Amino acid sequence: MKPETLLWAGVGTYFTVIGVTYMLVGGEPIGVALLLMATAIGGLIAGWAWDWGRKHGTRAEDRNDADVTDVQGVVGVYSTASLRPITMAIGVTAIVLGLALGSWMTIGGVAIVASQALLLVYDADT
Amino acid sequence: MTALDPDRSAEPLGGVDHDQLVSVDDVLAGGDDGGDDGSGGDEHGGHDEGLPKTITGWLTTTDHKALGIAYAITSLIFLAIGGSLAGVIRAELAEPGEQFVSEQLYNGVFTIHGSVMVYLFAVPFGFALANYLVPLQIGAPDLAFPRLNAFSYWLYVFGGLIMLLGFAADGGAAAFGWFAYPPLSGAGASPGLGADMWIVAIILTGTSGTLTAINVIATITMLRAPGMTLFRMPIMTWNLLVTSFMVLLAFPVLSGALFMLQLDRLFGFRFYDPTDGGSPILWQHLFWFFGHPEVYIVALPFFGVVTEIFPVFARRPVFGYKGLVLATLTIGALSTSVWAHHMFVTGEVLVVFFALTSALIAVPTGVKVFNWIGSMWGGSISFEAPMKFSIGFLVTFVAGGVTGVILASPTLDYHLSDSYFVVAHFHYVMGGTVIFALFAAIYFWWPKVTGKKLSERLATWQFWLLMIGFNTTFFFMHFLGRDGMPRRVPDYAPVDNFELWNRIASFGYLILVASVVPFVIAIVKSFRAPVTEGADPWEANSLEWATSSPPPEHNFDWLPPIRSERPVFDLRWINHDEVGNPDVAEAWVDREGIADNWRPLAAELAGDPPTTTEGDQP
Ligand code: HEM
Ligand SMILES: [Cu+2]
Repeated sequence: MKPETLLWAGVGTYFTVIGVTYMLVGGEPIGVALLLMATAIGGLIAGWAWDWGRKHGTRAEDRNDADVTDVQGVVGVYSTASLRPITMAIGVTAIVLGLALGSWMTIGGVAIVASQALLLVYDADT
Repeated sequence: MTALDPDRSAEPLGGVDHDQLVSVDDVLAGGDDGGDDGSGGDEHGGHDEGLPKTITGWLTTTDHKALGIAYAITSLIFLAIGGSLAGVIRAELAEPGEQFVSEQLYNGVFTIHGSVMVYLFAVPFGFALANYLVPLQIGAPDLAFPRLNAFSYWLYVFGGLIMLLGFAADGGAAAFGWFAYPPLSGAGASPGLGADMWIVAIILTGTSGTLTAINVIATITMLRAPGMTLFRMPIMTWNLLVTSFMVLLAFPVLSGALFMLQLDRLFGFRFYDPTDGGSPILWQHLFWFFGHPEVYIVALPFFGVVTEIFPVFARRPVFGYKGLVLATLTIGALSTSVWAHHMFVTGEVLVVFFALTSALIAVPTGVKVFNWIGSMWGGSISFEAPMKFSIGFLVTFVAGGVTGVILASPTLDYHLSDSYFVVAHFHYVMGGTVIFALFAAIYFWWPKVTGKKLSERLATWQFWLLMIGFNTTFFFMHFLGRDGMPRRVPDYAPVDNFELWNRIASFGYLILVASVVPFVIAIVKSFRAPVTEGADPWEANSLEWATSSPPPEHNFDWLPPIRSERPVFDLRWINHDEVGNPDVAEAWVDREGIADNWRPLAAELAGDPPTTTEGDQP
């Protein structure tokens, strides 16, 4: 994870520098806030990568000389089909569209999203 | 066989007979022979590619290849819709006067044209590439969060539909231009439901994009195959990584800004209302903090496409790999620090700061162009379809860059801004490049996705029609702009050469439409043709060419050793360490006794015929 940590730390550093510079030369507060938000996002990923690396050590994919035979086991279990994504998307669409079309639609959307989120729990292995 | 088959003898083989190179197909087939786990047995393309077979299957799929294809098809449909709206524009402008549409409808048409092209076609096609290619290029079985991926796709589809349905709303579709400046986009000037639907649509597609970006970043961070270090990833994947990060910065800001706009419109909030403590300038800052990076969010995936293609068809390694990665990162960083150059006319921004950062962006962009040319320089170039379209991309991009330099000079900008010069400029950099690179990508990866090649002859027709049509449509708009024709008007005075140039532009549009015909024929023919291509039909470099075409479910039954940014090239040259990478041969030997289906490659390459048996006619 070290290269990833460095990459994102670099991103965070860049936005700190540019954000502070912008502030010092008299930039308006919105821009400063947006740039520092970018710092935060870069820093967030860097922090996560750093923490992961600290807990799990070096991975095969960080080593120059690793090959497939260096890792065992499953990469992950992948569902190939699920009804949840499309129904959730319908629900979220209803919620947002309801802002313009009427609260009945938003309420319907919330109901769909809630029910699908519940079903998702049972969905874990499909 | 086509007349355009590359001349292999012209390849700089360093005295090596082409037949002595390892082909991925032999290795994959060899695996079948040797394997005793019974999972092999696939002939060329005769296997199950794992794509859904039923409508329910497609509606519920979470497979990255299926979703990648779905993204591509959907965004091409939106391209056709945006293109048809452009047809309305060109029909209206073919002559002075108002012929077909009212002013209000015209405003709706160009707004939705721009919005469809930018939000629903160009960016999502980048996500199509990310979906299909990222896992294949890094040796992963899927994206990190498959269901989230499907969710993003459906949000995009629903958002797009809502935007188009705006035309059916009372008062018509949104008509305030794709950047929706308040107060024009406020409840007072645009009270209609169509405007609300436009806002909702973009909140949804923006959210979809953000989630996809998270998915891509997580995938690239966590699911790379062993040996695939960051600095061995294909430039395509790097570009998609940087694009994703930019999406992560920019899209939530846009969604937030739109949400605030919606609160203003519907619930009487006053974020953008100057009479009550708000400010339309706030919108402009938020919008352009998204809007300028957006240009690169659109462009970077397509930069990635041509960076993959140039080396393959010039038979050279990509020139300056690290430089290209650095250039991409620099573009990503700088382009988030230049937004207010779109706001100079407000007189309320730090001109020097933004002029400086904007000028700096030219540097990494120049590096890219330089490296693309460097990748071709001295190579033995062959001009198959992907290469043709990539060169079309380069030509268009450089032409657009030249007019960009003209626009960047403040005095000229004052005269030209909001004129047709700007329309011409951004269609070169954003429209032409995207379309050329898009077709380059389709021709290049079609054999991977389907196991078949598209017709070279039809591609040549398409290419030239597109080239001629594109320039006929857009080149003369420069003159229109120079002579003062403003953008966003349905009518113009029959002065100067306005009529002539507009008519030429509209005629060019017809050529553009004609260029679609050979492409459609090629696609239809391909669907009827049998699968003929092996894993690596172009003799390419990156990992997606190391699996069969189309790839099996979860992508790889087998992976080559990864020791550089072009593992498939290294495999091809594994017995020639004067050309290939010696570490690969070493890694190969190390696999003996550990990997299933291992066999000594060297023996075969010393000239023995492949030891495969049945079912393996090349
Ligand atoms: C199919 C060929 C295309 C044609 C003939 C075409 C034509 C036009 C014309 C004439 C305008 C100016 C309308 C006006 O200001 O009155 C325009 C606007 C625009 N086009 Fe295109 N276009 C095409 C493709 C594209 C593509 C591929 C993209 C982006 C990827 C794009 C993005 C835009 C944008 C952003 C605007 C500005 C809309 C606005 O002013 O709000 N166009 N197009
Ligand atoms: Cu800009």
